[in-house]
Amino acid sequence: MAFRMTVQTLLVLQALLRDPGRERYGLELSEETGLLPGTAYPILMRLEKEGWVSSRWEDIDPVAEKRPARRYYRLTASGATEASAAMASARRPTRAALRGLLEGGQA
Amino acid sequence: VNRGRVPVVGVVLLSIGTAGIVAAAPTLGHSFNEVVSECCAVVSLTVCLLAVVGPDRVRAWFRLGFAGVCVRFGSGAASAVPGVWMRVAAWLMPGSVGQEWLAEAHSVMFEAAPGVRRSIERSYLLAAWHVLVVAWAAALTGRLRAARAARLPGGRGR
Repeated sequence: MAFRMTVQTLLVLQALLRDPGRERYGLELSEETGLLPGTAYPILMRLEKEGWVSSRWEDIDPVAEKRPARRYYRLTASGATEASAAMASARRPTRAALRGLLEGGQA
Repeated sequence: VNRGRVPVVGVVLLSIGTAGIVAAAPTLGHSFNEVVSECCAVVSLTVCLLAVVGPDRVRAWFRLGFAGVCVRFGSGAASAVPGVWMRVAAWLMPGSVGQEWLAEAHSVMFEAAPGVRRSIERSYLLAAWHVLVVAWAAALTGRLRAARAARLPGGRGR
């Protein structure tokens, strides 16, 4: 993993991992993560650069559809594996912290 | 880099810069020496801009408008068209990165509720520096790698 795993990155990965095979566009991802689309864009860009995510532009005629084409994102096969591992390792310190808190409370 | 455009773009930049300095000198109370040094700064800035960014991109900065990217879909969606600062940020990005960034912003703003479009635009603008840094880093690394590969025997990399 060549990049820093921030809370925002984990939120994006979590949303993508909910249904790894499904493609999502910017607004959909923003609604699922609670992040503003502008914030999610550089994260998705980095994930795509690392090969975790692939993207494609919707193949429509914008004039006929009366809306601009969407950019769809989905996890790649290796990205899904890496993302699951990243999510698991992100949860681990939280468990340890909770255990520490519980032990501290009992003492 | 389109070498043919270097003189034209250079002359335009130099004219704008020096005219601005000379016009502002009486108001700012600058001495002759200060005006000369400011003109030298404009010359070096122009040379740096042309060398690093390229004349085509500098020309693009003057032409405000991203044809084909931000199509207006009726008057009701006018607020979904990214503003001038979004376009300026997009031009600062290398290659097609800016165009893609702007097209995605437009697509998201178009489908969002009209009340949140401005906050979405602001979020794109606030995160633009991040996209700029990542994109330029990738572009410069690619150029360096290509230059290094060209220097290898046979003019080809691995």
